[in-house]
Amino acid sequence: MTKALLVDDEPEAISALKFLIQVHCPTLEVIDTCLSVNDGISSIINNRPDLIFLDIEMPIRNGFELLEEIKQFPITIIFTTAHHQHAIKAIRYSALDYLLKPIDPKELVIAVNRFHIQKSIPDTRQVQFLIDQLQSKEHTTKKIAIPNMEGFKLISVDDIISCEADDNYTHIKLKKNIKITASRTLKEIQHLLEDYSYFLRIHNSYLVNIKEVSGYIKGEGGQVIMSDGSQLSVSRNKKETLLKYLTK
Amino acid sequence: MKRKIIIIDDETDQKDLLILSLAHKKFLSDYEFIYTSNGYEALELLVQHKEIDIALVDINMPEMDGLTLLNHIRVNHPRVQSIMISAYSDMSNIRIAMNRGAYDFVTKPIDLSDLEFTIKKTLLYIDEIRVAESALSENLSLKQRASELEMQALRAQMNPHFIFNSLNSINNYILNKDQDRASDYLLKFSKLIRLILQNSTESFISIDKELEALKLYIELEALRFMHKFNFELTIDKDLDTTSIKVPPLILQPFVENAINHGLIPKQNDGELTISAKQEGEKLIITISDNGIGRTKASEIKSHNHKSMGIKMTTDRIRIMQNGESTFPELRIDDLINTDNNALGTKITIQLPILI
Repeated sequence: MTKALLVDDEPEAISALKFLIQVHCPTLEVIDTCLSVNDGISSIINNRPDLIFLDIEMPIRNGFELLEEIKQFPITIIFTTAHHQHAIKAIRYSALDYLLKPIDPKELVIAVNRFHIQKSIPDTRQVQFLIDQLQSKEHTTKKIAIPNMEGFKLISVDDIISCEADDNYTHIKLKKNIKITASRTLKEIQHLLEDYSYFLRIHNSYLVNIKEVSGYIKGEGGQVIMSDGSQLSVSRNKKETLLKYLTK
Repeated sequence: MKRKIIIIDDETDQKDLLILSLAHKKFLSDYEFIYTSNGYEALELLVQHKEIDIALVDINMPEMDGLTLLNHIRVNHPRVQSIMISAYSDMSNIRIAMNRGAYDFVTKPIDLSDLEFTIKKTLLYIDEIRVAESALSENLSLKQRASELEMQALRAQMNPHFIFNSLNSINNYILNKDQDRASDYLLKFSKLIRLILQNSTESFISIDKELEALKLYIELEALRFMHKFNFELTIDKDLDTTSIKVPPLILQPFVENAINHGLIPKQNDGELTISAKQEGEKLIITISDNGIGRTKASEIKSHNHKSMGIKMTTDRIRIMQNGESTFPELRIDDLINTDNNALGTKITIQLPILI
């Protein structure tokens, strides 16, 4: 059984999540529930949970402060939050998981399954990256964490040349001939990059960095030539948008 | 600061030069003169000295004549006004110059006081134009701001409609002790609110996002009315839904109307169809229902009922097109069969293609 700890300042939120876990997540055992960060920290030290469902907005000390203190423990965190755009973005950029309140049982099950599939132990660098993200207000670092089978890989957004869909995975080509395979769908990667307006989905299977397009071959939809020499097909319905982007 | 005047005269007429140098001495305290004898050089000087107000142009010059130079000035330096210098007998060239946009002319031999008067008059004219120009651009940016504010206000007014209808439904499930439906409805409702909050911070969102929110809204309404209608969404495969943008919540009021006034009174076998496609530079969206039709609906509705949502949405489409719509942006068709019986209503919305 996986030992789960719930931390949230609202008793109703704890009770609702506990109920959902009992009904939908037979692999989890809720070993403790805490109403504050300080209680959470002592519970972590005493009970050594495998998984924490951690609320972000709490009075006195927030969820991120708990995170800072326990980053040396190999514990996976799933954040729970009602509405916190800035934090959600930072969490996504760090390839960590979160659930929005009210929690949808389907999303809870997906997050727990993802936790079970993850082979690696949580990486303390990932937590550090999240903390850095939260401190840099405008995400000026232009860096994101891409989850892969080994854990995650920190990359610079501008290094991405193209992303190619492969079922539940995405092959990402970076500058200097580096390739990584993300354990996320192309749709999720696109969502992750949506703040960067120079990424364009040119095809069901391809997302490209417009800055890295070096040529275009005419055709029904045509093909783009990327800076690494690769040629990618363009969907018919994307041709016009692409040409507008390229001439911008 | 002294006003700058460029003089382009080819130095062949010594008398001219003498008078101009006299002018120079006389006006030294008021104006700064820049001399050149060549049209090409004049154009270079105009690029270097952006603050030049007036060009005094001799019509008869070798290399580039005054009329050609005038054309260049009109095209490349529209803020500079030209005063032509010409012999009195050369009225035909003066006429050409005036027709090509020269502001005034002085005749040779140049009369000093006439020159002074002409320069003053021209500068006055330039100042008037600049005041008018700055007022115009200020007015334009104010108008733009006004439309933005209006858009925000319209968006803000639209949301409460959704919210209270949905809360009412949830309350209903709770009162009827229908726990699963209450939870299902609440989760969908919170997702929709989240989308609305996110989308309405933007002036434009992708069609994909608009339809995602719309689908959730329709699902909620279908739940609320116990699936009295079916829903079909047809998106043309050539439509680029992730890049083409629309104002957020632009379709919801029409769908709300189709459901509440067309499909719900019909009781059963309701069909709601939404289609989207691109035709040239237009995005065409249709919302059709096989409901009771507008005539019957208006009998049911209270006398003075006017759909605020639709009124606001049409206003938004107008503002979006900057009041310069070249095509009818909204059409409502009453669908009837051969016996003139109502078969429903079809709304067609046309929007410009925005990326």
